Amino acid sequence: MFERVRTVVSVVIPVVAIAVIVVGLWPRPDVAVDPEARVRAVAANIKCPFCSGESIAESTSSVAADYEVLIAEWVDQGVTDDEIYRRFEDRFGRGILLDAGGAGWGLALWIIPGIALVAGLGAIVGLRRKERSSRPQRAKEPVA
Amino acid sequence: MIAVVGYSGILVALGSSVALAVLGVREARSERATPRALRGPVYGLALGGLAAFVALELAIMSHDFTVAYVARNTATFTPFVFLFAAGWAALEGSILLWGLLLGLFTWLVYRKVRPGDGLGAGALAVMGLVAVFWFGLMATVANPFGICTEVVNGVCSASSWLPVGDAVAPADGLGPNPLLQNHILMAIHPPMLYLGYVGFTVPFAFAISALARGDQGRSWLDRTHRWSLIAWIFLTAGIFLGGWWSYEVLGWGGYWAWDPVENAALLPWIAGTAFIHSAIVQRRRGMLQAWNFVLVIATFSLTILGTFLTRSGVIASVHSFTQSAVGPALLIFLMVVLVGSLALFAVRAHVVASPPRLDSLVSREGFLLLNNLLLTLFAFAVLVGTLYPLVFEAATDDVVSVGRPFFDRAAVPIALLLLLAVGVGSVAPWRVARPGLLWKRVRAAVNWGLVAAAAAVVVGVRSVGVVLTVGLGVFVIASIIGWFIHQVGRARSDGLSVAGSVRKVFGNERGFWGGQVSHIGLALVAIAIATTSGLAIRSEVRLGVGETAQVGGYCVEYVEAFERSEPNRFTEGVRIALLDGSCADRIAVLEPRIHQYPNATQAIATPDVWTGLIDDVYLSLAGADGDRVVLQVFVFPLQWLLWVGGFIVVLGGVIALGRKPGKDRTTPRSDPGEREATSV
Repeated sequence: MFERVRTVVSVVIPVVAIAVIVVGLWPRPDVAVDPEARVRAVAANIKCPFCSGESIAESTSSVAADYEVLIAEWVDQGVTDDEIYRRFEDRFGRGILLDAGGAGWGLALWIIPGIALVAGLGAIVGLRRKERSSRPQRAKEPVA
Repeated sequence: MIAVVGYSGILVALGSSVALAVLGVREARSERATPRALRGPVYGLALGGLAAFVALELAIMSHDFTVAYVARNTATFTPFVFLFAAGWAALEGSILLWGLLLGLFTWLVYRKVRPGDGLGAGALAVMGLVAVFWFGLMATVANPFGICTEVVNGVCSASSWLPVGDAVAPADGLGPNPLLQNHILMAIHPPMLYLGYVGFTVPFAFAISALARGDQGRSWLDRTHRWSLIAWIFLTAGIFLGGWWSYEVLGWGGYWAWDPVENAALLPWIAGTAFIHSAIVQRRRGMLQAWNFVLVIATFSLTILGTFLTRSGVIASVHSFTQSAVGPALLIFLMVVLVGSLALFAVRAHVVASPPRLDSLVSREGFLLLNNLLLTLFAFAVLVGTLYPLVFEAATDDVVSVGRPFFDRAAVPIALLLLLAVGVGSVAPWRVARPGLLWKRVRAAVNWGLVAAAAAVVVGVRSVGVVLTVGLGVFVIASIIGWFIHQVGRARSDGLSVAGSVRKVFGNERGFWGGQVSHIGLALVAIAIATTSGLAIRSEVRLGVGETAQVGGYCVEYVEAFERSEPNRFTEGVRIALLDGSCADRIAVLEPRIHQYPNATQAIATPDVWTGLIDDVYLSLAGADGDRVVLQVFVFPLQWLLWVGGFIVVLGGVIALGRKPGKDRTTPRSDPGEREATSV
């Protein structure tokens, strides 16, 4: 009896948990994006122009605060994220955007680790094959 | 006078390093290596470094402003702690601390070298070679004992290379960089990192010695196991303390910005972590010998790269306080280390490489391989992202930036996969695991993870990343605790008491369980990173005296402004009452403030933080708007879990240190029927 209850519980718990997770996280198209969150997200991708290595969102400088206000105004006016990025790029150059990995040479940022991944997977698979091919020979070796 | 003593110490250490390198090579090649032949150089290196460091500290403590380093980095008004820390807070002093630690570690290694120990003598020779570089740097372009030869407007404006000549002294020094004297953690965090960086010199030295001698086997690994762990523990502690410092001091509400210099500390940590895991596979299964050499070379090289990035000023960053001729010298040293070590590896790899013995990918060693693959990938992504702007600018003269967007996108999936591998790999048997057996071992933990993820959704979390991380983090913790309970249960069935069973399980596999404690800490850190970044609330409020504003379930009320003079700084701030969500009950009074240090042009905004059972409320003073104060208010859920998790990660390393050398038994090749029994 106890064993049966345990089995049922061990099936019910994950099923209910998965149902809660799926229903709770299911995308809702009717939920509008919070403008403040959008401003933060955009500001996080733009380098503070006169700070050292920080994004506008991270910097506590007054310059960064001014630019965040400007981004908020543009968001209010309905300017798209890409257009905001373009305006900053036109004014300060490509280095103002913190995400160089989008296109062009920036793809190298993804390609180089990708090559490392493929090489690593290849090495592990090679190790496994080598082991398989050497196993029959090893089996014939006399026991020391 | 004191400068002459200090510089003499550097020259003695330099001469001793050269002698150690030459004699160490000779002894390593000899059939009967005699450590006594190396005694003089080892003591000369350690004591020379110590004399130089003590001389610098004495010059600082006695306010000897004829020493240019003292005049530029300390002042009579600097508090004692920061005065002492000034010994390593600037470029030349930090290199001296490096040399001091290297001398100390060399002496500790020397004490364990016995007659006939060619491997140990070779390792001492390599440490001597490394010391030649650092003390050579101090003797030439990074001499901390140059004397002040000209004072303009009360500032030491010119200094001599050697500590001889007509010395002049300003009336007072400039004091440390304001950011370096704003929080006690800045006195602790850099030495921790240096202990980690220098600590990895020891396994590197033994690896190079083993390669050069063509030593097969795990002797170099066994002898450096504790050194690797000690270095890793200090590096881990240094990284967490650095994050904590950033959080407490910089005022932007974060602890990790993927700043190039933060990455410079993270890279050797990732490689070192991979090495510690990979070394387990070699000790237990005799695999990955060649790979362990690659990892230890990479770890040491990345410590040099980290120093180069930090100290050359090559990358604009809040950490790169200095620019000097040290940069090119570090770059050349890095190239020599990389080319020399890898060339040696290429020549000797066939001698030291182990035959493949991977029975199954679904096994403990299979998951450790996966761990190594993911950590290496992680290191590659961080390395490429950190260096890409430099290489791009050098090649095209154009400027690009790589920041949080790239690093987050690359790191988050790798980190989640690592959590999954940790949760499953920790309970997987060596050699081969039936999927059914593995599922049996992780099923309860999977349920715990699912329940935790569902609970996060029920309490209102709607971020997929946070829910996934909470689920995986709890899965890892449940998997490890479940396995521990299982093992204790098995021991109890032998008739032992609970306490006796726990002692037996822990004592038999102290290294393993230390690692699992670290894994639990890592899972907590992952959960904290997810909640503090995915569920943080941030708001900028403008308040007049007596006004309140509501932010994320709390109220903040502007009580009053205040000013106070401290011996080393002037403080302007505001008192803010933190109230509960109904703005009725006062929880705490916080004082976000601005510190103005003498001789510093820029004031330092210093946040104030209240830590509760669930949230951190973080207030940073952004400015004033007439009579109103502008405040950045952040609410970070479970921020404290990050620091607790970090402590547990370090604690796990300390526990694993207690493992007796050679305790890891080699897992024997057994018949399939026995395989499942070879579980831990």
